[in-house]
Amino acid sequence: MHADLDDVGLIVRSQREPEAFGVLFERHAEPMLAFFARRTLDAESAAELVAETFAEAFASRGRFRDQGADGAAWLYGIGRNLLSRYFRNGAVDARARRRLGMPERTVGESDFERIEELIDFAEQGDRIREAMAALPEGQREAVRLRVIDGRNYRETAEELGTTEVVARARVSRGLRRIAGDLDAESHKEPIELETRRWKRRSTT
Amino acid sequence: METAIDYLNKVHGDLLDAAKREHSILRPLPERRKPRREWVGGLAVAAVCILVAAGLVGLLVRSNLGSDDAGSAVPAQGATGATGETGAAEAPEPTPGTVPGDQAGGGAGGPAPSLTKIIRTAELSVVIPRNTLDERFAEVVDAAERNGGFVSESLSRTRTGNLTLRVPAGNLAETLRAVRGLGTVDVESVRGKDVTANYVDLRARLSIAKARREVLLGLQADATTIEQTIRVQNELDETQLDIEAIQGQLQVLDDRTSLATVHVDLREEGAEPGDEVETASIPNAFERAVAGFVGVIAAIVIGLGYLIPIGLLALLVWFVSTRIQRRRAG
Repeated sequence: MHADLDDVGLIVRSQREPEAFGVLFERHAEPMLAFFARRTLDAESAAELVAETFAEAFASRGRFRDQGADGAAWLYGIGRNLLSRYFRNGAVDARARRRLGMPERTVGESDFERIEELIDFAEQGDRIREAMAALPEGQREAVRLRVIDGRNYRETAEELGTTEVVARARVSRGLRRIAGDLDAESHKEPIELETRRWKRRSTT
Repeated sequence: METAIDYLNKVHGDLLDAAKREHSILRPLPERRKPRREWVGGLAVAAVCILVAAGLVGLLVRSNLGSDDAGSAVPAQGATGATGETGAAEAPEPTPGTVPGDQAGGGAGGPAPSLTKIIRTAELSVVIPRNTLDERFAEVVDAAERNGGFVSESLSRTRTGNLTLRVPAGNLAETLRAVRGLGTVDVESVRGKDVTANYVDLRARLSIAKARREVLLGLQADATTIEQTIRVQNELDETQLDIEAIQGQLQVLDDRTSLATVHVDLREEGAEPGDEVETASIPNAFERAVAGFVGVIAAIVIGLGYLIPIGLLALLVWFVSTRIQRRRAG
């Protein structure tokens, strides 16, 4: 119904018709998930950041003014603030979702690998390898098996001689530390680069 | 939503639920209050405009009423300034103990003189040509003296002057005629107060007191003891005091009835009455401020009296014309 509107038009329309915000989510949720996944290297945190960003944007859309700014830039601006807070606190905020009465969802088994695919470890590999040297041995091995060798979690767990849950926790913690090291550099990337990357990926 | 990631599908559903909840609650967003603020602001501006318009209309109406009333207004009289005061040495001797005729009758002597006693007071405000104050002032003094009267008080300023004349009651009309001829009469009033009853009463009390004095003088001559002599003397002294007091009152009445009082205000063209009297002072400023405040409120009230019926009429016309237009459109 609102698909013909651009991002700014959708945000302005949603001030009177809240349902219009759903179209904005459909348009930007997946690229934004890739954006967060590349920066956090953590599927669960990236998914939560997407949910919180949209919740925050929905709650504050009444203050949005159409002054020629890009609607996506406004959305990603909110996302960047939440990302900074995530790196500072080590956890994703859930205040906006609670205020709107939205439940806190968990990332299912099938989603983990789909989200990690969005990270495109092959492209990120060189940068990650450099950051891996500083990791504790257990986390470095887990990350190497999962990220460099491309094993799935079941195989990684078998290789490490532990359970799949522990293997995922080690990979997650290791990646979060690497992400912290890469944060300053990755933070400088413009949204346009992220969008181009997403489009290239979608067409291939 | 078309995506393979279940998490996003769930969040999408949650977001739409939140949107529906908000829609059903219809919680007003901050920017929706803005039109209301603008509406209130507009109403305030309209109210101020109406009050200002009412004030202007009120001032206009008041100024028109003021000019209509100017002919009947009596300016302040009897200024008792300390400057330019002239003496009253030419005052005629009163005639105590006598019963004069009717002073207002112009001294027409009849075979049976009337006992009517009237105190006459006149006020005259005259507008004279520019730069003639000194000349006209002298002419007023001359007119008083020519009619057997005198100037009891006078005050001369740059462009205005006040004089209080005392002239024989019989010559009042002639004096007024002379003063009127000096310029254009702005205000004129003549008042008469009948004091005949007081005069007759005083005359009777005087006759009784005098008769009593005669009796006491006879008793004093017949007194044989010191005690009798002292008692009669005391009574005689009191009676004598009564006689003198009554004679004094009669003398005052004689003076006030035999001589009419004329207050004359001279004002050169263009000079406002009293505009040279005002001096700058805090109490004066305060009085003017209060008068100004009351004046503005009064003007607004008067103006509203004109504007409200006009506004109601305009509203009625607008309402009827709108109805007619709608009916034609329908």
